[in-house]
Amino acid sequence: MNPADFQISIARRLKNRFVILLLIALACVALIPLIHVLHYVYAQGLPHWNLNFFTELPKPVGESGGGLGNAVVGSFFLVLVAAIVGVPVGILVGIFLSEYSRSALAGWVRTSIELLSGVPSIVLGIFAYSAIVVPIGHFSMLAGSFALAVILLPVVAKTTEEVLKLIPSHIREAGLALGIPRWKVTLRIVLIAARSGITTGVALALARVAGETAPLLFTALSSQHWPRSLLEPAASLPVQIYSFALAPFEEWNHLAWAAASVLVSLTLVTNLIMKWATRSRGESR
Amino acid sequence: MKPIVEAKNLNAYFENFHAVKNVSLAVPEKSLVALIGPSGCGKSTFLRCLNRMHEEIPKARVEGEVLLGGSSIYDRKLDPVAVRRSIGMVFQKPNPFPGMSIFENVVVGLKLTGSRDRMDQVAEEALKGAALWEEVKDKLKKPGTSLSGGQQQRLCIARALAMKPPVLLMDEPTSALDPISTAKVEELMISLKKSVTLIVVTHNMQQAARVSDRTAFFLMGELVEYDESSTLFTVPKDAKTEQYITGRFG
Amino acid sequence: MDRSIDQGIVKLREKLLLMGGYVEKAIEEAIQALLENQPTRFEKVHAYESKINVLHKEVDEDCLKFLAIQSPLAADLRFILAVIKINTDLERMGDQAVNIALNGKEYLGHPPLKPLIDIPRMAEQTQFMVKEALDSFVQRDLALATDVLDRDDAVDAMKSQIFRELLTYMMGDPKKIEQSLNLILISRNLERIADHATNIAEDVIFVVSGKDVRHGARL
Repeated sequence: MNPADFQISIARRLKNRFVILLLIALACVALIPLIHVLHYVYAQGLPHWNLNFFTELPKPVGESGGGLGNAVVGSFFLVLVAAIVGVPVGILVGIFLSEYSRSALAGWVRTSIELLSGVPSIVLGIFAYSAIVVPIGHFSMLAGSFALAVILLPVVAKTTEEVLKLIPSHIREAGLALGIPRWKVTLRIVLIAARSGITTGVALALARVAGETAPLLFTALSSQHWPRSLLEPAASLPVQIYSFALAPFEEWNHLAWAAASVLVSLTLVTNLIMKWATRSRGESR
Repeated sequence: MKPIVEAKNLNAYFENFHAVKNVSLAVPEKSLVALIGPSGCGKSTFLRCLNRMHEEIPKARVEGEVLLGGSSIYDRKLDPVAVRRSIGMVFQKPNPFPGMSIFENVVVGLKLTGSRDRMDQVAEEALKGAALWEEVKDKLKKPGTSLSGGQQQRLCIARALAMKPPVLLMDEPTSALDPISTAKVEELMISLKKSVTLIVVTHNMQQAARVSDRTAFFLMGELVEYDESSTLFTVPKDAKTEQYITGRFG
Repeated sequence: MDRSIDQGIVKLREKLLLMGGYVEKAIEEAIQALLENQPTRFEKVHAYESKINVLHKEVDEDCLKFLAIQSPLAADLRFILAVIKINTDLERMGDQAVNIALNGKEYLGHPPLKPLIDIPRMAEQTQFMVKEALDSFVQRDLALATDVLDRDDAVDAMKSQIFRELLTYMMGDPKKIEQSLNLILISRNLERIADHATNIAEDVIFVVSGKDVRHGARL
């Protein structure tokens, strides 16, 4: 063939370059909100990071200093209790969906899980309110954790199912062919093989519920004190951001910004750690 | 030689598809039998009937009889899970369990079926049996998936050997391996048959000719010819066998 | 179905047949030169023989390559094994034709011993066997090959008869020993050619049926 046949017309080359530039520009547009949010939140929040923020209670209006230590601890325990309740159930549901996916029941469960994950979190908050707050008679950390667990469950179940489905069927067959009962193959071989994937999914789900605000307004509400009991209302970072950001006191606004930057950092760090963990595992293979 | 595995009028189905048709075949103890035939001829399905793995597939069923050392493995009183402990299986793709070390991979069968005694010793014996010990003895804690393809396949053989099965089934054990790893696994097969009976599905006729004592040729679910490999590959009796092994179809 | 292996088989068969053709010509020339008393025709035998030798090497080389590349099995394997053996038989037959030519030349250097009767009959029978053996190879014909085996005994008998007859000549007149020996050697050469033809027929039977009929085993 004549090399000239391969030469691309100038018009086509220009068109090609134009489209590439357009795509780069659009990608940058998509990045703008993220960069803007990060920049704004950290610009406002970082200057107010100090040890007091993590260790002290909010001071009454007018006094300077103070922190949101109770909200940090409250958020931690809210998410911890939610994880203790929601993660095992979510993983078991995920196992059921993946390993017994052919049963009719699995179809129903899958549909319910998908619907549940589509329900707005504020509706789940109302549900937790009527299920726990109303019978007990007051707001409580337990109700907040319950609401978060309900949000967590479909996410964990879905991730677990997806990760388990990635484990090739010949791994299961190899286990069965060794004369290991099916339930042990699932729990002791398949689940271990999927360990890192499920851990990633759970961590991302936890980072997500840590930032939930709406359901907590109906359940854990808020508190000016350190959390002491599951049955008392508890402070949490998102709710504190919500109330302090709207407060007419500059000191509180600063705390809200600091809290917001802490939350964003939490999500960001979790994401990055998980990205790094999954990538390095992929490379070692 | 007395047969250790004997299939009698064995039929296997996938829902409505009749995959194995009335096959009777006796495998002499401590020998290597190769199952050959074109894709979809039922040889792998037949193999999976020998350790009751076929019934793991939904809507699959088996009719007929398989005797192991004279007693039926399809006895209603038997648990298929227990049957599989005496008939090991090695698969086409090396499939060490992800997330487990080399050592854990070898002993996992023992650990999860309740015999945890002397696991170090059993692991060493199994790895030596699979001709892998020298290569991995200093890195037993490394992940099983960190080994090369050929080593992984020998790890899978060690995993099966750790259960001390009298019979080992292999489903195209070298089709995913390079020629050097293939040669090692073939060498291993030949040395293994001193202690274990091997039944090997292979697409590689030269391999069947090299390693097996007897060869069975399957076509469309039927057993066409079963004979000494030295006879079957030089003077096959059936014209269909002749056509297949000289590459005239399939 | 067309297999790449078939091309190799066709080529080998053609080469072997070409060689068989030269062998037939060489025998024909040697015998005719003797019977027609035309010593110059013996030269042609040598020419054919050198062609046969070239092909002999080529076929060996082709077989080696064929085995290495194709790893033949079953009928293909039996075919290639037969080709290797037939190749050797044909080369030996060429050598025997040369021996006939050499012995014939010696014989024609003296006054004729007697009118040749049994030698032409034996030569005819042997040439027929060679032709039949080659035909059975081409046509993969068990009946033809079996016929070759059946004829071998007759050739052996003729050789013994020629030997006995010439023995009486030699005992009667020592001056005739040299010519007699030449004829005995020629009959011996013919008998060897017939043996090689028999070997070829046996190989053909092995290729076609997978049965080994050598050394007394019957089809």
